[in-house]
Amino acid sequence: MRRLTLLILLLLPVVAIGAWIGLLLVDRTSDPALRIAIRGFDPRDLLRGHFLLFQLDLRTDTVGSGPACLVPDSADPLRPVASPPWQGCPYPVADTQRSYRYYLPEETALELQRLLAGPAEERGEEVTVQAHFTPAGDLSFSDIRVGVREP
Amino acid sequence: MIMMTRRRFERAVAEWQAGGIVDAATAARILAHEQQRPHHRMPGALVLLGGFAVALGLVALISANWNAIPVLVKLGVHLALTAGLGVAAWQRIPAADAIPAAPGLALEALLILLSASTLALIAHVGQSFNLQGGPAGLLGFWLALVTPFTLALARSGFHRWLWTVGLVAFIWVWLDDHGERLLEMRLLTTSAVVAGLLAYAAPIASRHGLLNDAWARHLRDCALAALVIGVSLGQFGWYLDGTETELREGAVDVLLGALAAAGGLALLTPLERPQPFRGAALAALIAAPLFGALPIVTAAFIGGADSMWAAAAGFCIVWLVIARLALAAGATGLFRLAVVLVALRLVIVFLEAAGGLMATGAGLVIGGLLLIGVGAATRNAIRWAEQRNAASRTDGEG
Repeated sequence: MRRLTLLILLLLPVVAIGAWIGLLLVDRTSDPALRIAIRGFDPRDLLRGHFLLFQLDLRTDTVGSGPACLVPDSADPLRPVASPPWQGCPYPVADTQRSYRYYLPEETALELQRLLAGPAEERGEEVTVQAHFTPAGDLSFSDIRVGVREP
Repeated sequence: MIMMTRRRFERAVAEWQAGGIVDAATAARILAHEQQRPHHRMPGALVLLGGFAVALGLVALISANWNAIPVLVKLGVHLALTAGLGVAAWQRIPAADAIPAAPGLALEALLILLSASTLALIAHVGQSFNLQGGPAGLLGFWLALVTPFTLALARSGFHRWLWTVGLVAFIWVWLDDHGERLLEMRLLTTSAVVAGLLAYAAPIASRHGLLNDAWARHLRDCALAALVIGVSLGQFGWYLDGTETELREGAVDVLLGALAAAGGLALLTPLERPQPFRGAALAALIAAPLFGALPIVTAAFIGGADSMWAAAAGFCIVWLVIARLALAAGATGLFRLAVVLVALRLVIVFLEAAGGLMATGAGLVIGGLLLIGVGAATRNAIRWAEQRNAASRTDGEG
């Protein structure tokens, strides 16, 4: 096998992953995004190493678990309504009950776990996250924040 | 300590000379050559220790300040490191176009580090962007990126097994995610068989220059190992009882896979040069997947045997056939393994049948005598096979 071919094979990981990072950065700026409140779920041990486990705090009156289209609610912007999925939905989710993970520094992980452990209505603070949506309903997250809960 | 080792070596050379293994001139040349070699291990050890301490310190500094470093800087440095490993490995490749059979320790180490860095980089990207993919995606992407250069350049057995463990781990987690859907389509076993047949056919690819010989043998051996493990585990189907109609979906899946395996082995084996299995060995190879499917198919459509004796007999038949074929091929290691496994299975079936007796004095005596008998028979069988092989080798040389 030619040396040039071997060089290409050896640099394939860097080129492929570099291109992937570039795509992710472009998607981050162009994909639809919503800031959504998050909540804990049973079991209450929400930390897996440096990862916080959470679910999206959605209004699921009209759909149960499964795929849905999130519709922002002007009355409660941080808790969008999960409605039946439709073609061209800008904020699709594959499963409204899915649990997600977020990488956190150790010092903030414990504090956030404590905040998410109790019922949402009893907390003076709430945790929100910027959710980035893909057409397939896969989500990624950024910019986790703690804010004062609106009454 | 170095002087003592050298004195011991000089004594060994003197003993070889006294025993007529080397003559005086050769002994003198050996000693002269050894004296010229550098024996300064302590400075090298200190350098290695220092390098390890520096690396450990850097890791500690980076991990302590991980969150303070911007994401793109971390990813950029990791990409640069991975690229550096790729270029360093490329520079270690001999100038000639043909890769030698054993390119060397430095290249193998760099290739392993490149593989590890690639896996870590994929996980690093997932962590940085808080992606929600699972282990199947991670391992699948990693295998897609590292397999081309690993197959082209890796030559050490350790590296081959590292890659194989990664592949098995990927298959395991992928089946965890998608196995149920394949079972509904009755294609679960057939999918595994197709993958196994591709590996089994690797020597054919090697003959056409598409793959290195050592890799081809390794892949073929892994395929055969998977077949043997599957057929052995299939014998546990004899434990099933009643008419297991709810098993029919699984039984049809297994039967289709077994037929695909038998057909594939029958077609591919004659294509390899030299043909690895002929006559009785080829017949046993083709029959093996069908024998592995027999218990579950019987349980699903005729009625379960619910018999530990049938399960033990099935297992022992498989490994006695392997022992017989290993003996004919002069594969003493495989013969040994087969005999030991048959012995262990006999002990297990005794414990299943009479395990309750082991709480009594008589039971312990009987169990102990069985263990002694099985152990002695196993040792004698192995010794007989080794002597038989040694005699065959001597006859061949004569």
